[in-house]
Amino acid sequence: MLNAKQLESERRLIEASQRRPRRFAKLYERYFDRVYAFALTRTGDRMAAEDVTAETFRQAFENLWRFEWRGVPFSAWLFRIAANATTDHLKRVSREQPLAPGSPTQDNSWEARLIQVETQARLFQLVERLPKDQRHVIAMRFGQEKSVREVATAMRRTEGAVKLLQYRAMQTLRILVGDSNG
Amino acid sequence: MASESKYTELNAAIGGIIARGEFASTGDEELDALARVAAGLRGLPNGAFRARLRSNLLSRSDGDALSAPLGWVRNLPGVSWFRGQRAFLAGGSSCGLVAGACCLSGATVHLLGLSSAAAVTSFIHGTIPYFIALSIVSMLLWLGWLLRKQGITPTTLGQTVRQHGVALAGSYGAVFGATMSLSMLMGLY
Repeated sequence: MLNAKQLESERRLIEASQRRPRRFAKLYERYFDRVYAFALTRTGDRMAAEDVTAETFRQAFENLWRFEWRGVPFSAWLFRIAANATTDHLKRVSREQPLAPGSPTQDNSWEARLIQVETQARLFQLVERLPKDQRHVIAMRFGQEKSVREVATAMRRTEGAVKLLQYRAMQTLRILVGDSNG
Repeated sequence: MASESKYTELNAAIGGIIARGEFASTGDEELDALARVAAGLRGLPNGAFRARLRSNLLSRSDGDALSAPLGWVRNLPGVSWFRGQRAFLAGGSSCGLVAGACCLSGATVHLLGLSSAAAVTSFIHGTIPYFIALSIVSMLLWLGWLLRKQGITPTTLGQTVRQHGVALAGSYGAVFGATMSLSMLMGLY
């Protein structure tokens, strides 16, 4: 939840982006992980999450001039776009192939999903705080779904070294998650 | 060695998480805790996708001077196409200008009375292949720099050529053609 100062800063950023669209980059960086995590938890699929995220930011960017500040966080507007984009995507997919029972959209309460989104987005952000080598391993293993061998080749390391970096990255993240949870 | 087997066990658990989205307990509390962290990373956004999307969005905003109430104008099919191509139109035009620099500079020198038409014609004939080569190299370097920010892959390269090739080549040809036409009209080429 944003405090009054953060809301004011957000209002200024949105108004600046409406005047100069390049400033939208800041809003994009601020909300990318959350929108992506939202799309991922709703669709359960990386490609679908990428499509929904791209569509959400495209619509937000094109319609930013319509956005009127009413003291409600920008994220609420953004998530409404993301929710509509996800629904459209799922409708399109279900027309092509019916959803399997128990698919990611059908279980969990709204609150549980929101917590899941926030937790996952925070974890994605914490990856940025890892030491460089650990971050590269995690980005390639999880972001690009490369095997340890492929990561080792790309980093010119042994497979053992990559496994060690991966292990240490998980240890670091575990500590960071603990810290960020207070 | 005990540690090495831990790294391998965790890696096997991560392999399961990436492939199936689940992991079987390793029986080791510490490893299971790390694997739970790893489970939250499944689907981690691809950095190249993130950078590409950002770049696509911002390329639409380059040089945007239209005010908010005219927002609907931007969404008109023709306008929105040009808005999405601005960076490539600018890139192609700049490289076209490099290619035609010999024609332009020759025309300018001739207009200023600093050189005869014959000397300018000879200069243009002699140097135009080098200017064209320089413009192509500049274009390739610029494209390489642009794609590097998005992560160069055959996919991004193919997408860029499909989506922006017409704008890039068209603006290059138009500007280069214009400079050549100018020198032809002046009887220099």
